[in-house]
Amino acid sequence: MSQDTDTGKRTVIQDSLTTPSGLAAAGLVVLGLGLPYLPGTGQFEVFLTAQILAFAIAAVAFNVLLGYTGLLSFGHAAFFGGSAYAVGLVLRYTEIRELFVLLPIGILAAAVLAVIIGYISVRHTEVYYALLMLALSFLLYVVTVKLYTFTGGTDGVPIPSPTVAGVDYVAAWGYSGFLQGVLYYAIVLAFLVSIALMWVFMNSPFGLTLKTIRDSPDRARAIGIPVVRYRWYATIVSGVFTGVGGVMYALLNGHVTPGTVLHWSRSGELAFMAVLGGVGSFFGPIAGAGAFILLRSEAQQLTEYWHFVMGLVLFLVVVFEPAGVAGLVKRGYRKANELIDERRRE
Amino acid sequence: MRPSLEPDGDVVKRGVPPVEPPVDRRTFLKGAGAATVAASLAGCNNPAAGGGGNNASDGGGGQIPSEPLRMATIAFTSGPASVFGAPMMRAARMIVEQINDNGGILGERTIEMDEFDENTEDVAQQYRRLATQENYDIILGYVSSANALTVGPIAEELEQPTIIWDTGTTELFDNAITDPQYVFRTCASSSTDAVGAALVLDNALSDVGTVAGVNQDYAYGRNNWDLFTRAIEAFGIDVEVVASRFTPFPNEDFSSTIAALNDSAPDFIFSSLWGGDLVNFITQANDRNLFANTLPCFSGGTHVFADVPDQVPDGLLFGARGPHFPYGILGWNSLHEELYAYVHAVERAYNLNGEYPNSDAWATSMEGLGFDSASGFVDIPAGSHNAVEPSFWGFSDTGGQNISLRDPVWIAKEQVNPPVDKTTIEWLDSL
Repeated sequence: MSQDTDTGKRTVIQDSLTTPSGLAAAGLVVLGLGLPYLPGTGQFEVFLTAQILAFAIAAVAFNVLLGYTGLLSFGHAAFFGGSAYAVGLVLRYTEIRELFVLLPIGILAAAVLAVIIGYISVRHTEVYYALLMLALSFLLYVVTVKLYTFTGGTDGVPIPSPTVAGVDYVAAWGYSGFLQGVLYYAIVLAFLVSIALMWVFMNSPFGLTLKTIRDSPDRARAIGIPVVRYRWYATIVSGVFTGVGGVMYALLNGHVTPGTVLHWSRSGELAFMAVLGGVGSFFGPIAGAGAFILLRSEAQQLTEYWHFVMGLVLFLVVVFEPAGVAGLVKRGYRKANELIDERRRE
Repeated sequence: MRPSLEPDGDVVKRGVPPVEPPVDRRTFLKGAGAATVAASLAGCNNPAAGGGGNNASDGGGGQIPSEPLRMATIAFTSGPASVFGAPMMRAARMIVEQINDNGGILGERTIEMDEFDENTEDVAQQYRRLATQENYDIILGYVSSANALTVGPIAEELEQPTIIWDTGTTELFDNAITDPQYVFRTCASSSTDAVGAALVLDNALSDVGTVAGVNQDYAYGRNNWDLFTRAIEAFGIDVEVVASRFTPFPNEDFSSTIAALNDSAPDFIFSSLWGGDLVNFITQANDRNLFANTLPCFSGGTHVFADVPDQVPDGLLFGARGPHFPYGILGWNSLHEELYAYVHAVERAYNLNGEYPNSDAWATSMEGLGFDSASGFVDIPAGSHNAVEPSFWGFSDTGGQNISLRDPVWIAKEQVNPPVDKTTIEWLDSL
């Protein structure tokens, strides 16, 4: 790599860090890393944040397809739950307890599923793609429910806390210490690495190719892009990172059932998060995951009719702010800039 | 002709399990050690006689916290399983009111109860919030086995006193929590129903040659059928299983299942169906004469007697999930056992140790707890975290104002539950 490219990259990073949004992102990362040590932070806040981060990985991965490739998937529960179940079944049937072994196993499971399900589904687009994904992921759900003696059926499988680099932190520090001192940081790390990798992918020629396909598959084909194959690659990338989210969710939750990780409604939730955050933005789904989890947690505390609250929010977002939280932020940012400009002129 | 019930009188006995245990209680007290005897003498009042708590002057003497006890109750108050959850919540409200009217725990500490719907997408998150953020003293609840299996290990991690009130799954203490400290279950496990049905088959239905199963295609149905067939094998019962049907949950149309059952014409059907599924199955099967020559046995269906009395035909065999049926519906029974178990354990620990118990002292006091409840002796054997109950069966009797159970039979709790040191499967395999 030439000196120029290195310097160029450094400049890009420096530039993006000095912009307001770059500074805000850096601030959020610092806040996230320090969260367990902030005064007033209890175990629950750490758990909730970790849960948001696990879903955020999956939501951003979901948006690789929806926002960048123009494919709406209703089958992401297969990748999310597939990786979670791979971890659960390994824990159930083997002596393996190590996070650094379980994580690759989960990712591999999601990758295999994405390769197979993606290969079949990308032959079609739009509603046919969505329905094929839905059907194939539902197949996985039904098989898991049916194989009661192997998978535990609807009762699911327990996910006991893993060792990390061979150390059993639960035994050493208690569960609270493990959650706040180890598992949370593992999830933050997984989140940062996944988001960084997906960002690089989406801003590489690969990402640009996907955008070209999204905007006009015919033109993409005309300039020699193998459209179907690239849709397949996109499905695999999306599936793999959704799998990372699934593994993290499973480790955090401590138990997975087909109803919570493999059911099609989980795919719907990822779509909800992406829409809520803003499909047009790379980082939008992160805000969407956060908003979704916090909103649902509050709504469930307030009323047993919380489904209604969630439905209403989805309705309002789609009708009044289709660009989601990202759109709101952008609009607010623009308004603030205009105000500042006006003041200056005055 | 439908097979008729002729109990052997030894394993399967005629009548209703006695509210006052005949020999059991003395044996129990002897076996459970001094702590239980003392506690049972001190803390064993009958809630049916009114009065939720003892007076503080009975013993103890330590400071009783002045702030109310904070109790979270969780059950399905919406969705299909609200047939269990809604009455349970009502019963909980009623019992807490009764205890508070009598001054509260130890006659002094009132209970503040908050209700939560189990119908949530994220049961682990909800449980953690209740335990770590809202700091409830005691969490009671859970109807779904998947939910109980999810929160059980979390409760142990967080050292949060928790009592499961309705879930039957044998997985809870056989696999999910093998060394429980803070989690208890005050209702019988599915072993009581499924092993009980097998024993009825073995000891009261000598003319049954063929057996079929109709169970919902989710963990509860699978767990029950698995236990029932294992019990058939374990007891060496001379019957042939001719069909095992797993119907979707929930389901409206049972025609294919009923056609298949009509074809295989079993003498006996074991079914753990509940709620709308059970009502649909009974109605459709009855219309198509399935029960003319087949005796169906519904292991956990008595709740439909109150919910849809017009849909229940006369003369079907029903199990009551424990011995309490004659004293009220399932929701009421699970609840008064659970709430009084908690209260009695606190009072027992207070009276023995002289101070109000913390979580650990409470948990120690729960183990080996035994007391007369309004509907029978509640028995959590020493060394166990799971109540054991007799198995109770009878024929639906539509003759009266309410549907009742005619010609009831029962089986002692020791015969339908594993001993303390064995899991259900280990026990069945060892028979």
